[in-house]
Amino acid sequence: MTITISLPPKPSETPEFTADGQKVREAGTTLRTSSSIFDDHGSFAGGKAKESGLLDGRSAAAYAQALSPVGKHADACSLALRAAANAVLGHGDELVDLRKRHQQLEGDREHLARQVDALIARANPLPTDEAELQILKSDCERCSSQVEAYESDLVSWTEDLEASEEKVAAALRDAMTEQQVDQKYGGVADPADAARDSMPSGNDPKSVKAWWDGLTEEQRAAMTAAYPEIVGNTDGIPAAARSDANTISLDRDLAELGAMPEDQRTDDERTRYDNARAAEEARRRISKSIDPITGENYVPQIYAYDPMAFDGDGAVAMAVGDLDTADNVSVNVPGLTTDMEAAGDNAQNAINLQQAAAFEGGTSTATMFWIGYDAPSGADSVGVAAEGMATAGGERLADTLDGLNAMRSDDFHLTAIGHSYGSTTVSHAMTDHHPGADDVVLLGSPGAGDDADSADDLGIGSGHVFVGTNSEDLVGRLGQTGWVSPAAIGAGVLTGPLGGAAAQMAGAGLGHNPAEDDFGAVRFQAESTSRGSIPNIDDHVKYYDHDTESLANMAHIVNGQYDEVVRAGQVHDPWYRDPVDPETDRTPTSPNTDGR
Amino acid sequence: MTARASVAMAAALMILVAGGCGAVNDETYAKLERQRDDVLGWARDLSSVAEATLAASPEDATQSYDGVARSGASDRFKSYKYDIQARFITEQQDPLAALSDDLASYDPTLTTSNALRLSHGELTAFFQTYPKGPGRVGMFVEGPAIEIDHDQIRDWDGFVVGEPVDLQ
Repeated sequence: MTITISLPPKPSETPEFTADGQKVREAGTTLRTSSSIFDDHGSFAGGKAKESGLLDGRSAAAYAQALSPVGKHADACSLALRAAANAVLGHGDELVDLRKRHQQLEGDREHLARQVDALIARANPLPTDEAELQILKSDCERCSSQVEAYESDLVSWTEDLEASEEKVAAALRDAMTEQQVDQKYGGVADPADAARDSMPSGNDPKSVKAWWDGLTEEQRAAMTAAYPEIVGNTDGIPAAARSDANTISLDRDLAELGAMPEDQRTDDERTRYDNARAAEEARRRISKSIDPITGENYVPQIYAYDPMAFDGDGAVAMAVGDLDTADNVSVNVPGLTTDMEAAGDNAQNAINLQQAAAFEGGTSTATMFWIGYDAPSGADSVGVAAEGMATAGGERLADTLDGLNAMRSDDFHLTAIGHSYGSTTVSHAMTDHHPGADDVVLLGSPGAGDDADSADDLGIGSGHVFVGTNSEDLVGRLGQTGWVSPAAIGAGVLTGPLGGAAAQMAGAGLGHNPAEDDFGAVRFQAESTSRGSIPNIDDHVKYYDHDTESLANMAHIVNGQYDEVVRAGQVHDPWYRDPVDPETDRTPTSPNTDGR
Repeated sequence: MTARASVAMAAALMILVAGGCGAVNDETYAKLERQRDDVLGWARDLSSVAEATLAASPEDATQSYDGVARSGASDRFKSYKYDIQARFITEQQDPLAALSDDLASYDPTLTTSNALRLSHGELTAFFQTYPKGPGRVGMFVEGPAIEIDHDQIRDWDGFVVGEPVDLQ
C-alpha cells in the first residue's frame, strides 16, 4: 500500500506593522479640537459679535457685510476639520483592532512555523512503520489546513488595512485646499444644530439618554465637536462621549489661553486657564498611574468640565476607569476649601482608591472624584450659611448619581463617598433626593446633615451606610452626639469675629455624628499608624493614603466585599460624661494597599 | 469650657491657622531641583543595571513631583517629592531575584512577594512585578518629602507631572 505524505508549506512571514492606533486617535482628537475652535470663531463672527450691542445702525450693517463671509468660511473649515477628525478617529480605532489581529497572526505564524519544522524533521527519514506513517500523514494534513487558514486570515488582514488606509485618505483628499473646503462645506447646515434643537428640555437624564441614543453617529460626532460644553456636562449622556467632549474643551482652553501672553489675559481668562491647568494636572496624574495588578497605565475619563462654574471656583469630575462599563463605581465628594484648583490632589485620592480596589481583588472598577458643587472655599467660606452649600451640593450630587444610573442599562454597584463637608453633602443627596446609590461612605464627617437622625434616613438600609472616622480626627468629633451639641457650643463660641470657615464646620451644626452608636451606621476601622495623641487636624486628611485601614476598608466597600470590611466600635455618649470612642485605645494597623 | 467646646474652638483655630501659607524661599526650590538631579542620576544608574539584568530597555519613563502629606485644613498637599517611574518588559523568569543580586550594593529587601525595595542615602527605589502583567517590571525611584504647599509648587517653573524623561 502506498501512503502519500504532503508536507505542509511554511507559513508566509507576517508583515511588519508599526502603526500606533492610539497615536492616530490622539491626532484625530486634536483635529476635533481644532474643528471646535473654528466652530467658535464661526459662531462669534456670524452671530455673537453682532448681537453684543457694540454695533448698531450702519456700522452693524457694515460689520455683517464684512464679517459674514469670514464666519461662513470658519464654519466651513470647522465642518471640514470635523470630517477629517472623524475619519482619522475611525482609522485609529481600526488600527487598534488591526494591531490586535496582527499580534494574533504573529503568534499563529510562530506556532505554525515550529510545527512545520517538527513535521519536516519527523519525515526525514520517513518512518518505516505504517501506523506511524499514517499518524504523520494526518498531522501533516491538519497542519496544512491550519497554514491555509492562517494565509487566509493574513489576506483578510492585509485587505482590511488597505481599505482602512484608503478610506481615511479619501476623506482627507476632499478637503486639501481652502477653495475645496468652501466648495464642499460653505453654507452647509451643521448637523449639530438640528441635533441640539431636538434635545429634550429639562434635565431628566433618562430622556437625555433616549435622545442621545436616537441620534445618528454623525449627529453625535457633530454635537461633540460643536457643543462640547453641552455634551460634556449633561447627565444621561454616556461617560465616554462626555469625556471626548470635555477633552475638546480642556485641550481648547489649554491651547488658546496658553498661547496668549500672561499679561494679556483678562481676569476671567486667567481663572479659566488656571482651572484648565489644574484639570490637566489631574488628567496627567491619572494617565501616569499604574494598576498594581496588571501593571497597565490608567486611562482618565473626564466626566465633567466647567472651569467657570460657581463664579470661577470651577467644576470638574474625572474618573480612573471606565464609568460606562465598570462593575463597581465610586463617586468621591471632597469637602471644605475644595475648588477646581484642587483637582490634581483629588485625582490622587481617586487613583489610590482605584489601586487599592484592584489590589483587594476588584477587577472592574471606576473611581471618580467629583468637584461638582460649590463647596465652601476661599471667600465663600466667610458668611455663608453652614449647611446651605451641602444642601445645594446634595441636589447636584443626586443629579450626578441619577445621571450615572440613567446612562447605564446594566446593573452596577454604585458607592457615594463623602469626605469632611463632602460627607454632609452626600448625606443631603441621600436624605433629600434618594438617588440610586447602593452604598454610602462618610469619612471624617462633621455631621450627617439636619435631615438624617439615623443611618436609615439615608434610604438604602443602615447596613449600607459606612462611616470612617479616625478617633483623633478633630473634625470627626464635631457632629452632634445627643446630650450637648458641640455644634451648639461652637456656634456660640465662634460666631462673631471668628466666623468664616471655622464657624462653618466647628460651630454651625452639620447634624448627627454618624460614628455614634445612636446613628446606627456601620463604622469601619480608619485609624492611622501616624495618629496623633490628641484631637488634631492632620488626622482628618489621611483617609485616602495608601497602606491605611480606611483605604483598605473603602476598597472592600467599593468592591462590594462587605464581609472583608473590618468593623470598628462605635462612639458612645453616656449622659454623665463626654463621648467615648473605643478606637482611641486600639493600636492602628497598616494593611498593604498597593503591593509595595 | 467643656471638652466639647474646646474641640470646637480648637478646630476653628487650627483651620484658620492652617489655612494660611508662609513664603517659600529660594532654598526650597533649590532643594526641589537638587532632589530632581539626585533621583534622576540614580534612576539612570538603576535603569542601566536593570537593562542588562532584564535584557530590556526602559519604557514609558515619566517624572513627577507628587504630593506626600496633606495640609489638614485645606486637604491639599503641603509636601512633595520628586519621582521617576518606568517599566521593563522582560522574559526573565524571576526578575526581582536577579535584580536583587545585581543591585546588592543598594541594600535590596523584598517588602512583599512582588516588590523589591532599594535605598541610596535618602533616596528609595522599588522594582515591582504584577500578578496579571506577565513580563512587566515597574521601576519607581523617589526622594524624601520636601515641604512646599500646593499653590507654591504649582507656580514654580520646574513643576512637572507625568512628563516623559530620558533614562539613557
